[in-house]
Amino acid sequence: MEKKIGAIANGVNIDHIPQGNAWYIIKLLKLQRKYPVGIGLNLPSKRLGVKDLVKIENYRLTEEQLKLVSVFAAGATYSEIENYQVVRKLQLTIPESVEDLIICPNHRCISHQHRSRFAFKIVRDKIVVNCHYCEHNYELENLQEFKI
Amino acid sequence: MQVLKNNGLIALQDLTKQDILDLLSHAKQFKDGLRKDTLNGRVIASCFFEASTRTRLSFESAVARLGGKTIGFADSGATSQANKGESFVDTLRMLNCYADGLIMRHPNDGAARLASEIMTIPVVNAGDGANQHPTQTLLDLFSIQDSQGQLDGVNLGLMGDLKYSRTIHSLISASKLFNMRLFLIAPPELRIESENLHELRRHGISYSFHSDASEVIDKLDCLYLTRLQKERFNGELDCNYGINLELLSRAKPNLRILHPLPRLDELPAAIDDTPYAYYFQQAQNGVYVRQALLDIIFGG
Ligand SMILES: [Zn+2]
Repeated sequence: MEKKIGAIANGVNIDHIPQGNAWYIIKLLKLQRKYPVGIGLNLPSKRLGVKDLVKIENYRLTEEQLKLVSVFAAGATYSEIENYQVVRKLQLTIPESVEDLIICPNHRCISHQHRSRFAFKIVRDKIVVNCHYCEHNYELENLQEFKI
Repeated sequence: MQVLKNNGLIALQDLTKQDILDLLSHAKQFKDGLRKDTLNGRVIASCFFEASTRTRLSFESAVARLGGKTIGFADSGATSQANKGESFVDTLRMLNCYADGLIMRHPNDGAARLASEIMTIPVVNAGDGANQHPTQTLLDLFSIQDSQGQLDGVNLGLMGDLKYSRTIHSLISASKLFNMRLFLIAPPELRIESENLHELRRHGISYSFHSDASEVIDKLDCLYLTRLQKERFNGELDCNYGINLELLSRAKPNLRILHPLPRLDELPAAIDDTPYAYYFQQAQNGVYVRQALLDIIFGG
């Protein structure tokens, strides 16, 4: 727990984000213009081949934010840093379900008139989301519209 | 049947195999003459945001036979939702104040699930878009069981739009609970999707493909026939679709033909007077199944 990370004295580091998902995370956290953010895109990674990386200074994610971030960063590592020390570290896993984050691609789905709710499961190494309302299944990596 | 009592019914997969069997045997009691007035003094909202005359009348008949009264509408054209832009959720909240239960048909997938979350009264799904129509499947299962004496081991022919038909998909899905042998009869354009086949294989259901009913007519106990929706395929079909008297000359004596109705020329009227015709009884069974369902939900 004593490893130093980059130039961040205090804040969080989200590493090993699947390539292309850093933007979703930045948008999702609604950081506005308050916090210094470092974004790494298309970085070489042993585990993923290519990865994204997000560092935010003077910031902590709430449990609810961690859950939403996990949707875009399953397998990523989340570290909280104080005085250059990692004080908390966890690997993000897909949540059981999320509300009002995913926009159902089924245009006839009632979720467009109220709220959406999706459950997650792994099917043949792919993350599949299931709409609580219309019962359709989608591969997460094919989804493009989110309420963020 | 705790899952149904005071709760309603949204999707077939919310029920276990035993729930379904209990419901079917209760429906059989109604068919054999059971009379109850469980809904006496209750008001059931029958709200069809999309017209479906058969389903609506079948439900309303079931409510009336249990002594209840219905309020509601036969299609959404005259509602304030349509005219004044009231939100669907507000309409549901209002209905929750007026009725003791809601029977709802809606053009959007998932509408019944949402209604059951917004409302405190029991909601019965009478069809939500392309998604679920659980009482149709229950009355289909009842009709197979009642005409053959059992569900397990039945040779069931499914003929029609195996790719898109909600009725057929739902019946295929239910067949996983009962050890039926499926004969999937469809023009090549309307064959079942591989995702659904994967499900059948996973559940150890035996099935085979056929492009023509004549290949299997001598093997079937039930033939479930549906009409084809022309907009689903382009132009003409390559095969003869439907059945006829000549084909039925090779059928087993216990064969019964089921059809959700309305029909087109796939099911000629000449078959109506043969012992194979079961589709009008099937429609009548719908009332018994809905009576049984409402009786259980409202605690009879
Ligand atoms: Zn949906």
